[in-house]
Amino acid sequence: MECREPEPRHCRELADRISAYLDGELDAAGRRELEEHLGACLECACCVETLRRTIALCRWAAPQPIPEEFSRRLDALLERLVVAP
Amino acid sequence: MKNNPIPAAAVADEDTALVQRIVAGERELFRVLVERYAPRLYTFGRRMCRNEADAEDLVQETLFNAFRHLPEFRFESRFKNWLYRIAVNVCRKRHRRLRQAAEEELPLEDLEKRLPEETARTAAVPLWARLPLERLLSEELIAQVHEAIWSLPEKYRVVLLLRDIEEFSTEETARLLRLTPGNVKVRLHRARLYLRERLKGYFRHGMQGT
Ligand SMILES: [Zn+2]
Repeated sequence: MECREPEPRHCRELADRISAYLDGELDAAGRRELEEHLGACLECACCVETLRRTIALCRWAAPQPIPEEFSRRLDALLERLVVAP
Repeated sequence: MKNNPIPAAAVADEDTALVQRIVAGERELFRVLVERYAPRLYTFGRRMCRNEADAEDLVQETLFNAFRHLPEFRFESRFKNWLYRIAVNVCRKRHRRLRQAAEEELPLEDLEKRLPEETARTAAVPLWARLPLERLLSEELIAQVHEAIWSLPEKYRVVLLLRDIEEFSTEETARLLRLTPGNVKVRLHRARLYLRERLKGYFRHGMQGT
């Protein structure tokens, strides 16, 4: 599973495509090439997993509920908008 | 609100009929759109602006502009995309006013070169990327993620939020921001790499076992 013969240049080229890979935006050939490499190169596999997790954390941490006080002000704004002639 | 002839929708979704009715005169139905979108707009605002009051202004101004300009909506995109286009413009105007550097770059050149070598030192995928997500979740981590997002230059931050949080496609994001899809992809990848470095640092120093 270890990358005994690392080919840094190849890794670097593939690293640029990791986001596209995670987003399902690589074509079949590109995906196959990357997946074959991931099976053989622990470093790149690690890159993929940490990036995947980064996106998940971002998605999970983002939502922010509207504070009640602001919610009341939004209602007031709405009132003015829809009632005004 | 003027009553222009309502164009047929080129892109129809659950908002289309609603928007058509509002434009046709049922103004009070705008409430439904606000209920539907205010929470996500607020999240978008809070992740775009560090300041809570700025985020609130962003939501109010976006909804206000959307209502006022609704008769001009041509149904050529989804309503949601049109709404976010307004939100992005409100944000940009605000940042220009504050003279914030929108063209700031991410210092990623070194980071990208370092990438394979750095992870080579990690014998395996680190715990923070392996553990079930629920095991990691904490208030502190939320705060860290928010800090990391805020520290992105705006042009990267907006792409990350639209793609990874709002889940617009690459194409939609490109149209929304008037960028090429290639540009969106590059900015998104860089933003993610930057966030990963920040999170790596946090897990290395702030948490055990990683
Ligand atoms: Zn590799």
